[in-house]
Amino acid sequence: MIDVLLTAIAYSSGLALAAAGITIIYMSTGTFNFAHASFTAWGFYVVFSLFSLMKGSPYYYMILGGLFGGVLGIATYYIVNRWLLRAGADMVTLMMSTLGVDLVLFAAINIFADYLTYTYHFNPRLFVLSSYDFKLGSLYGIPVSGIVLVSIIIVVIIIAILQLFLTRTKMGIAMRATIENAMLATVLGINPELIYVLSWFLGGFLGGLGGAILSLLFTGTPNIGMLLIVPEFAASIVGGLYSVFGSLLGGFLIGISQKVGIALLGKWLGGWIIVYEPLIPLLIMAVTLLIYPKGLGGLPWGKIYKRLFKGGE
Amino acid sequence: MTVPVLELNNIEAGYGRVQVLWGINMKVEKGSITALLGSNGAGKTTTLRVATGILYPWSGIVKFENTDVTNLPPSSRAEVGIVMVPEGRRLWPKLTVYEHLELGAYSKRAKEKFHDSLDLVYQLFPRLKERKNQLAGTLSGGEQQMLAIARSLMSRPKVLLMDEPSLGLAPHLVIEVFKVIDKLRELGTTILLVEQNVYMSLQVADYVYILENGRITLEGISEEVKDSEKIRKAYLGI
Repeated sequence: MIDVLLTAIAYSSGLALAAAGITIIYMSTGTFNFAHASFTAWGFYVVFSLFSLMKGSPYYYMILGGLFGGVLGIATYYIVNRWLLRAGADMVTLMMSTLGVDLVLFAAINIFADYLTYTYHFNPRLFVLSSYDFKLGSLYGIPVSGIVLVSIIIVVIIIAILQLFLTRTKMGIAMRATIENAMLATVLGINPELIYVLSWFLGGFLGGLGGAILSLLFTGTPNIGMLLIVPEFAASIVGGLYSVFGSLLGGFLIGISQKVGIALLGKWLGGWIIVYEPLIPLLIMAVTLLIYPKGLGGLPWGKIYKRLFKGGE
Repeated sequence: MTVPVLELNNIEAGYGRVQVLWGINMKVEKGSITALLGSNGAGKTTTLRVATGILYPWSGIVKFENTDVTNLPPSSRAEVGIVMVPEGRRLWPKLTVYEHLELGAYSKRAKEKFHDSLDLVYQLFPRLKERKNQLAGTLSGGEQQMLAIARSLMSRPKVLLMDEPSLGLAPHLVIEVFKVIDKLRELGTTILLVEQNVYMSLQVADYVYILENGRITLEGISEEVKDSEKIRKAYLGI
């Protein structure tokens, strides 16, 4: 059970980052980005291809996976999203357009996989990077992979950077202002397009980085995005869609309950249940929203903090 | 004659197929307070939207210091110095007072004078200094209006467009707001004041335009307008 929990923690970290990316893009541009899981899949492939070509450790290429996701985000904005936003497109149109982007990116991954196969004779349609991970030691006789610790460290660093950026820099404050009221920000001289590009970059970066982390956990295939899209969206929605930190929490709630839940169910009910694993994130999402309609980000965290640490009000 | 800071020439504008403004001509002279008065639905806010660039006119020209800015987007207009105080104390409820002031000085031109502007604003509104780390959403109505004005002053406006600053405020706060406007004039700020409160506006304004059904029906220096038969009957009730 400990090995399941460790995998679940690393999985949740990657999921949380990707979900935070979905939330950032949604909050600032109102676009529900269906192409996000393809950004994540590209994070997988950047790490895999660079590692296969240049060796070393998969960890060297993680940040590049994130940056490539960021570039995909910027490209999506300039090629598709920008024109629709200018034309005043509604939410549904924005959302459907990213479905188109998703198909393009999915096709591109397959083309890239074929290119790797024919040119370098890799096996990009089925690769496992976890065997190249380092071992931290063992816990009750179970080996602990490096990714468990590294993924947690990355999440903490990202939270710190985001917090500093959003509250200490002018650009970050301008971003929050644009999210709260774009027209008001505009008449005060804040160029909303700059904020939109920045959000797409940040969102894409987190999506790609999430993928880079997950590439050390899962078998990589061109279809990996399809496996991840449901839990990513579930995490973002559980987080309340209007809070970056809420979606980070959502990532952990969804990720841990998915991996631990399916292991427990498998033990109790038998192996046949495993194929129903993708259902768990959706169930958790539905139950959470029934109890807290505004999602985790909408909870009164200030009050909860006071209750817990200061003994009531 | 000096060059007006802001000039609207023959503006026609509307939403969809509905025409709201029918040939508006206005000038805002440097260092003066110009009031645009009228009742609900007369087209006051639409005129302001054209001036700030949120709404592009169907025809006509917007001039700023004698250059055509009709096609300049709103964020660039704020940069050159056309700054608006939006109606209804529009703030960002989840940003602190200080963050509002920081964002007010977003443009390059305003950033250089950030500390001067901050001193001025704190001197005008000492309350805001006390509350600089408080979220804007937790301020009282009057304080919110002061913050909205302070934020726009941080932008170093060459012309300040005020959209109904007294709307929805208690009477003693209305008086407070007009006192601030008077003080701003003393500091040499050029203001275009859009108001429904005709009585108070006539007290502070130098030049007045009356807007009715999208047309300017009366204009003149405020002393003359105050004494005109029409205004006395329609707006002042005397």
